[in-house]
Amino acid sequence: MKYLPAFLIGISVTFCYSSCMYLFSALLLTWENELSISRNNLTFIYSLGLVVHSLLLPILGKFVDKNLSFSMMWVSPILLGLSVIYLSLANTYTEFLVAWILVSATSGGCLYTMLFSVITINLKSKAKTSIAIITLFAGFASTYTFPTATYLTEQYDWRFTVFIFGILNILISSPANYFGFKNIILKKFKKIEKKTDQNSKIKIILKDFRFWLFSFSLFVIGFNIGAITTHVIPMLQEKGMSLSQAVLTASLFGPGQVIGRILVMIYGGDKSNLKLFVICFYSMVVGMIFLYFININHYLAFLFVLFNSSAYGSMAILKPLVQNDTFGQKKLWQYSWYFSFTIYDW
Amino acid sequence: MIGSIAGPWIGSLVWNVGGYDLLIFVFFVLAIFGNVTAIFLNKKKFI
Repeated sequence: MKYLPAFLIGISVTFCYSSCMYLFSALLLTWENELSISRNNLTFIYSLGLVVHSLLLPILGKFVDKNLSFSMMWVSPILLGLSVIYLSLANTYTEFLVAWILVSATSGGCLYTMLFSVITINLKSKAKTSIAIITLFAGFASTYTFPTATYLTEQYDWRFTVFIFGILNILISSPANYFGFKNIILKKFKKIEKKTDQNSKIKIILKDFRFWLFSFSLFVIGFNIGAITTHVIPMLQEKGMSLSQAVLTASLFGPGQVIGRILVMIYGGDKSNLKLFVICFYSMVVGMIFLYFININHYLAFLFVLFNSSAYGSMAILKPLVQNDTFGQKKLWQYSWYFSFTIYDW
Repeated sequence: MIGSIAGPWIGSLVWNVGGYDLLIFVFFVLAIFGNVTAIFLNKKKFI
């Protein structure tokens, strides 16, 4: 089957995103109650984990440059799984902090950033379809995580839930990445030479107002998604929804993203990437208006998910295209840590 | 990336002050600020 590797990688990345992203949101209230760690401290740990994750990206990029990506692709989910299992043993604030930092750090090698980098280098023109398949799979990570984590925690406890998620990374994500990447990573590797005029390009970009506006819009989108995804369950409960209704709403994030991506693929072909990006931004704003009024009518939650998640799903595809159209650099983040923080990955 | 890093934690801090409604309001303020700046820069021919 032509796209079997993409299907396998899609399955792998779904479980990886579940463990290092949505699991936190699904168990935030449980941890707050059972570990007696405040919501501020828990979310601070999550944010700190993302800092570590971002700092590691340029280092992991060097592994890709040295053609060590195959090992990274199947070892990383194992390390992630072990970190998640360690998280299931955490009792104190410090133990939780160390465990979550490990989860964030080890996930760096098996999420979109590195996957797409490796796939683009190895598959070149065929990469686009593979990336589309992978994102369609991974879009369902929230659909799988929220109900599964809630069910397992209600039936057993949060430690068992976290343990199962860690085991799945080791038993499914790692082998799936191994067999997925086995045949697509080229043995003969052409080293990418860095251009010497790098500094002058950075200076030109930094003087461009469009860069700062683009960075600011990415900040707002990232802030929105970071805050909403992490707090979605308590936020919807604060709006008067029951736990099951909140879980159902959160689990629709994935399908919402997939709908957005499909709409962009079908109707966005002949339109400017920048225009589509702006439309998506306003769609996100409309989604937030629906979120604000969910306490009046709970059915507005569906419109919130439809507008917000489909916009986010589409913007994930559109962002590199807009960046390329505007600044002419496909991998701006590789130039410096500064760009990896401002532009890349929201 | 700064947005997604700050979002979860700042979200909690804002929630402590004024609940999740205030957090949604903060998003609107940021979105409006970005739009107004873009319109201003466009009118002044900076972009």
